[in-house]
Amino acid sequence: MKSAVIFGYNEFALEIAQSLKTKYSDITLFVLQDEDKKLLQDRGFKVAKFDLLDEWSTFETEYDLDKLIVFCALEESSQNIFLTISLRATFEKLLIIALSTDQESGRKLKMAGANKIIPITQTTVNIITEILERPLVTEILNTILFAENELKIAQWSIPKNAEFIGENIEDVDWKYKYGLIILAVIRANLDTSFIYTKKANHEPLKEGDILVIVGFKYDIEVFKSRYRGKTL
Amino acid sequence: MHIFKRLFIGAVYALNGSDRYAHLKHTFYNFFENDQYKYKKYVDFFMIFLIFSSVFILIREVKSNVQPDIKFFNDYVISIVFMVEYVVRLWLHESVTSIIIVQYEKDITLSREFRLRHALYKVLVSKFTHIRSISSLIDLLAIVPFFHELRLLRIFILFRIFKLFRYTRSVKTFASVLASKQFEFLTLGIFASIIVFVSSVLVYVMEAHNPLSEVRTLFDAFYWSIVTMSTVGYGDVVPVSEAGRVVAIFVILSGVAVMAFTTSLFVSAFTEKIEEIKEIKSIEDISKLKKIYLVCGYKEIGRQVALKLKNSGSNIIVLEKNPVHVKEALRDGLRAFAFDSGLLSTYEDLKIDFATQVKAVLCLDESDVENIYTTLTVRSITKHVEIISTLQSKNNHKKFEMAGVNKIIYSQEFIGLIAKEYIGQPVAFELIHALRSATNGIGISEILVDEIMLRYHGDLSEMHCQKFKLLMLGVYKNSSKNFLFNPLDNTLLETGDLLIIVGDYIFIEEFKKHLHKKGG
Repeated sequence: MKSAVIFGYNEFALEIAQSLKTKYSDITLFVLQDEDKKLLQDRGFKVAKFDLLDEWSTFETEYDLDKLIVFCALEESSQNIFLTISLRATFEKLLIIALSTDQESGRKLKMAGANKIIPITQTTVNIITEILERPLVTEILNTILFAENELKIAQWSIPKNAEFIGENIEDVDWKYKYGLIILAVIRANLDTSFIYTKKANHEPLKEGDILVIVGFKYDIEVFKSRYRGKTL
Repeated sequence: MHIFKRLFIGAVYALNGSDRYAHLKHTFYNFFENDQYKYKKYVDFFMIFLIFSSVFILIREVKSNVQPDIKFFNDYVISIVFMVEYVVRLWLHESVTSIIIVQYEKDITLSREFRLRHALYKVLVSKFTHIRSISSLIDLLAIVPFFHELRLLRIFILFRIFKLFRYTRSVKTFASVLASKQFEFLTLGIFASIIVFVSSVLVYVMEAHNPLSEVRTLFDAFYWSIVTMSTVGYGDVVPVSEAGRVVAIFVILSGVAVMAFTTSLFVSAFTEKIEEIKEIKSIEDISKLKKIYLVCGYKEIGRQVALKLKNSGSNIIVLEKNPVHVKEALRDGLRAFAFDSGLLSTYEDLKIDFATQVKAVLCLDESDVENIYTTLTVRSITKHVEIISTLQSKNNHKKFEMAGVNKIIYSQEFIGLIAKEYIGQPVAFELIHALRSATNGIGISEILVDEIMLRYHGDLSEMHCQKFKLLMLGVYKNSSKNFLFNPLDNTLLETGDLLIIVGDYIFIEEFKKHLHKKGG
């Protein structure tokens, strides 16, 4: 069973819990205070109390660590960093996502072993400036990313049986044949960041490359089922 | 009431209520007194030109003959212009009709007869206050050369140069700075005068009978005293007697002290006032700005938003109550004021015109209470300006809507969505994030379709965006307000449509140029 653990009692933690509901059946909020635990329980959340000095070894018995995702969303930066480093010290492979209020704590969280940092201030700033300067692009990106509608973004690993293996990305008629746009490709042998489609022309596609696709939900589904490829 | 008084007061009321009279007066006020009026500077330039012409002619007259036409221009034309200006300024100084009406209504309320004389006396007092002001006296003296028959009065042309005070702001600023140290300057002046007086008398007494000494009159002694005290020391008049030299030592030492004290007074006056002067200058500059983003609150989010918008070339004004944050904003190179964005007077003081100057108001304080307060204040001034506000607590969402915020930024919700998206498709998510922040120069851009583009490229197939290594994500159709994702090549374009393009920003710029070229 896929589980999510969220540390902290604040609006960020609650919103994360809220949005994960559709994907995770087991979500637990970990809080520092007894009264917070009581309040959240009354609101119908699964809650546990923890202390920063806890030993986390019991985690293994309670959760399947391979299917567990942890969010560190404590309000105090120092506590959040301490929590992250404590978890990483105990579990090498655990997927930890941490919220940071500023660049400095973001860097420290990364050093403490968080897999992904969500910068709160930076995100808010980007949202505001994009609304002001590029309202249309913002709306389109938000639609693709967040809204429950037809247009979606997906990532897809090229399976063995794909007929375009060996072809240049530019030579495949993505638009008319599949109704999709390939934004970027991540090479299977290179563990680096993405190469934008228009720059990736010099090397033919091969099995294991990851394509970042934008398209209508239906077209994406049809495309994926065609090769029975698996999504990541 | 006497029939004359009745007629008089009737005329005063008629004049006071006349729109044409009010309009006329307002127009003259704008041209002569209103610094915010954009055409006032032309009147200022014209007057400055006249002043310099006049002084130039005076200098020329000293050693050469000036043509009669120019003399006529100097003696009559310029003088008449200055006279008209003097009369207009006298007229603009307080409203005569208002003073009379106030007196009339006061008398009526107190059930006594209208005291016309008293009202006229008040008018005279008011006008006299204007006449005796320094700037008005200078104006008056500048007209005097008009009576050119009185040769001596020609020198009054020089007074015209003082009229420049009225038209140059730096002189006004200088005067106001010095005025702030009035008491210190007065004390220093008295001290210096006493020393000059005492030393002049002493030197005169000790040197006047000495045939070797240049000090023959009291004026010589006074002249020597001033020259010595100011540390200039020409050396044309020097004390020769021993007693005279003792006085000289005393004057020299006092002179050094007086000069040092004077210099420090100037410096400290300017240091104390410099922030204020800068602020006044910044406020004056606001009136020239257009498309302003008004950032209310300069905490972390406010700061970063303001800096990002500034970097993209937008005009920013920061309003923040806390002086510490204001200093930070000033250090960041922004126009910032320690004003409360929730007060109506702030916008009056800054003379911000929301209709023509403000693009959007951004309420970015960390407190929902402050943001709602600011929103309501702005909404009480205008219903039309766009207001964007951050929201801290979801419970307040409705209150923000009621207050009139156009876009509510509840970042907690976005963070929740980001978390969800990230878990599902980390690579896709990272990509969108990278495109948004334009890492490596690659990002998403909007291109507005205009008539020139359409003349050369009717549909998408003729645009050849592949040549520029760009991806056409879609077209926003302005007519139907629809976004066409991944449009077919034969999609017809119209003026006002927006192309949404992904690619290298350098290539996007090249592509834009290509779209405006024939056969490109």
